[in-house]
Amino acid sequence: MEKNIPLTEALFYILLAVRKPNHGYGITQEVEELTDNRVTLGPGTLYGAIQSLVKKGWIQIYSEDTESRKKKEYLITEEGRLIFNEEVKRLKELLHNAELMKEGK
Amino acid sequence: MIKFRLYYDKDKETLWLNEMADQGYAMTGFFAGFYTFEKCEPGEYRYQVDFSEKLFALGTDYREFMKEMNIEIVQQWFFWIILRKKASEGEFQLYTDIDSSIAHYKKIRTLFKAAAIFEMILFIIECICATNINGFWPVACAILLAIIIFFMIREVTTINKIIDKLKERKGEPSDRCKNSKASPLLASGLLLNSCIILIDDGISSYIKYSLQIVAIILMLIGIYQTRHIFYQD
Repeated sequence: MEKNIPLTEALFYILLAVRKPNHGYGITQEVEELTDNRVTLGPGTLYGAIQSLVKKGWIQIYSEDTESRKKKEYLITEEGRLIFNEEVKRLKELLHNAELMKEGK
Repeated sequence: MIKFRLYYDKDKETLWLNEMADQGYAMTGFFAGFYTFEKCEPGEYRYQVDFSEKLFALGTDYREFMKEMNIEIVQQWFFWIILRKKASEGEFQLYTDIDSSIAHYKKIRTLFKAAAIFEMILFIIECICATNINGFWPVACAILLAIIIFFMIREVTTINKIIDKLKERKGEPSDRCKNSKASPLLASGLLLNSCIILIDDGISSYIKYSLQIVAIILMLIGIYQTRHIFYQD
């Protein structure tokens, strides 16, 4: 697990966006909203990331209904959550240590 | 409208397709260097070029995904995929972070490397044939192959430079210190070999064979000097 983090910003936000079932377009939208358009996910970047996340088993296909033209949805797996929490722990440590700068110690 | 262009650099191709769209010509099809255009509102579409892993085949996953993103797959040709999106729907960039851009260019580089090696094998076979069969066509083919090989290797070096720049932006050590240029010896070896085949009848076989050996040595040294570009990570 150690070598899986740090996550890239794209992977971090994709994992976050699929905490509940979400489809490709929905992921892009949510990430743009959350970051006030700072992080945009191009379709090539998002497609590649989803493929690799599914392969790694961090996210899974939640629903797929080709008949009713419903979009394919993805959902985070237990392993995905584990990785995400590991990354959050690392980020918290970062922020905690950043306090040193403020206090001028 | 039909236009003939040969692009092997996908960034230049993308630029050209978008310029055409700005002038009111939307690309709608491609076949062997012939691009078909239809009239459109100036700047109606934005074009991008992607690469697939499989020859002439696109996964349904990819098709569905692009459709969902309101992106139209205009044409697939070998590994090339030409995509477009209505400009009114906002900016169209396929790869938006450094990691995925690097992965994208590495995929393209692998294709060019494989193609260059394939062409080299063809070239060797062609040279053997050309020395045994007289005539114009074997020579023409050998020269054409030599030119193609040269451009493919040049493209690999161009992509190496792009990847190096991306890696530098990411703060990773780049491979720039390594010699990443295609050796001029390789090009001159290829050229000399083609010339020998061309002037086949005019010279004695003794001179011909010694020249051929020189050409082969030049090519081997050239390949040796250029070897870095083939196994850069």
